[in-house]
Amino acid sequence: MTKIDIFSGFLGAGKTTLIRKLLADGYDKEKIVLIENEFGEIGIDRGFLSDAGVEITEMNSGCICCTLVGDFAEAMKKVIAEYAPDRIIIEPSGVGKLSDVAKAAAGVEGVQIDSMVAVVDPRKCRMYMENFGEFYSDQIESAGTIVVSHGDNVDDDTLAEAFDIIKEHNADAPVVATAWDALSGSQIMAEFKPGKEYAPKHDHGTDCTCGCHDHDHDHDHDHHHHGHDHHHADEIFDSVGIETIRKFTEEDIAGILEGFEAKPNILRAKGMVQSKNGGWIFFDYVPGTKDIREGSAQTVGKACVIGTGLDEAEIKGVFSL
Amino acid sequence: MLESKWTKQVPVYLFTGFLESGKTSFIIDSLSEQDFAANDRNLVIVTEKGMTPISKDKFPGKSVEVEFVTDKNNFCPDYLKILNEKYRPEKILIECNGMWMLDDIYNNIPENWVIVQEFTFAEAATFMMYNNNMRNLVFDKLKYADVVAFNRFNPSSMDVMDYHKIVRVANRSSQIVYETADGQIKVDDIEDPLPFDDTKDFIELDDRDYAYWYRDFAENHSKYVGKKMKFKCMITTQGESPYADYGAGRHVMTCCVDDIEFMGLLCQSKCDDKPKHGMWAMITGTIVQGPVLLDGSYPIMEVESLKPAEPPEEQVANYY
Repeated sequence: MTKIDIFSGFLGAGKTTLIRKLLADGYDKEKIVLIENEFGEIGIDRGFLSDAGVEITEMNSGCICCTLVGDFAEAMKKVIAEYAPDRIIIEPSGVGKLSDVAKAAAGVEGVQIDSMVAVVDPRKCRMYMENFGEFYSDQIESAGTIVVSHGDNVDDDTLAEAFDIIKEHNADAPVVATAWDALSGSQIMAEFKPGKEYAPKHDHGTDCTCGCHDHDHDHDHDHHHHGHDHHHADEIFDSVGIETIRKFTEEDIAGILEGFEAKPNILRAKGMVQSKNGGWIFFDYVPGTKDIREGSAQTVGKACVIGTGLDEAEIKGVFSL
Repeated sequence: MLESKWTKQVPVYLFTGFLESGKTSFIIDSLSEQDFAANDRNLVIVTEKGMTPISKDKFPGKSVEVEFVTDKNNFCPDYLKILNEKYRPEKILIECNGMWMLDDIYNNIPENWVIVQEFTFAEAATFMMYNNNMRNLVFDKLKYADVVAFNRFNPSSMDVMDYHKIVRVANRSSQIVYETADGQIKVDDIEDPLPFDDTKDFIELDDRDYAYWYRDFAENHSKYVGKKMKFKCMITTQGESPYADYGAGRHVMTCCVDDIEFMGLLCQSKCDDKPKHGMWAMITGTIVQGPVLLDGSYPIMEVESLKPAEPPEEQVANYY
């Protein structure tokens, strides 16, 4: 079985830079073939790749008016026959629909879609969403994971606007919102998933990293945990989990947790959020005890509150922008 | 069908190019000049929302209305006629969405709107990447442009020739200008000699020059009338014409594989030739004025020799 990772994103979004980072520091020692269907600004460094044992195949059609789908499946079959790779990384044309590429790839025998990533430049997100046709929204909506690229100095407002647009179009996909330099390749890759349509039937992924539902196999970052079959005792409790790109100081967090003391229905809270000083703040709360400490960079800020009869909107308001 | 009482002919200026290519700024600058805005009732139709805001407030003391039509479905004759009647414009500027094809514009404007000039803008730094990946969209914007302006052109890291060639394949008559980041403007005055000598009375074409020759022939028929030509071609006997015995030409690719077209000449036989459909041949003949009934303005070839030949190395002729 050959695993397929697809990296979509409009021209200039940073797909190649991300793939380079992950190949250097993230992917296991596997037999990897990279299929490029785009002629980007930055070439993939062939020397480096061949040292890493990665084969590169360029698809000779950079023009969306020419039918890609048929050629594309052919190219994949050929690559599989020739190299028998463990994994194929596809960098499709930036003006293609991710759902089309995934469909074409999934139709090839002996493959399994492992990740569908959309790389988004936050500075362009609103403009592209408003002006480009379906292909752009399709990239975000079909993605299993969205990775936000950070060019030079993206300001917080721009990032927040893009984050909201992404969530509006795809509430389920984890978003890697932190600047890549602060993260390891494997940290980014831990968030990778295929789009919903291609998700394995039984998702036994890693524990929900917000850590509040230790038995939760649903790996669901939405605000309520729907659609899973296990009934745990703890379901009499509510849990509200949110992703946030808001930055805090330790005092902000102490203040929030202080406020929780006045609410006996809040039984536990924990989170990892970006600090205004550039680092990260981790916190744990049970009534009477606050633990606030420094931690390592995460892909996105997360907070989770457990209790009974929680006011979801209020809690979201506390941590979101 | 809606009828508009405002039927006066209105000149339309089109501004095309991708997001962040400088279209909106150019429109604002132009309308801010007294000469261009004049005392006309100006209507600006914006079909995409870019980074530069535009509204009628930008033009105090002038008659400028701004309408956004960002949904392609709304850019239709009925709606545009409503705008035509509402504003009764005397001049129209349309900022065209770079992801639309220009046919979406041409085919939808009311009859009394007459396109007089088309400006295409491109950000020099992203142009090559866009051209490599969205060739058909780029080509579409270059094809009928009267002016092509490259913004933020950096002469120390970019070669004018790269840009010039891409524009010229699409369009031989547009004016090309390069503007540097500090606002200096350079006009492209590069001449493009034909790859063969068009002054001779007998022209023998290299296989690879067919596309260049055919385009020049299509644009300047009269230049070739009376000349003798020799070139490799494919013969077609399909399609009956009482004025021609067969056709001779090549498939030509202009933009990309999707626009490959057979471009050729009608031929009248003046020798003992044996044309077979689909055969490759070396043809020699004289270009003459076509029969009047057959749109006499289009010349045909009187064939003096037709000999079977090996196909050329590149079967599809292109602009190299």
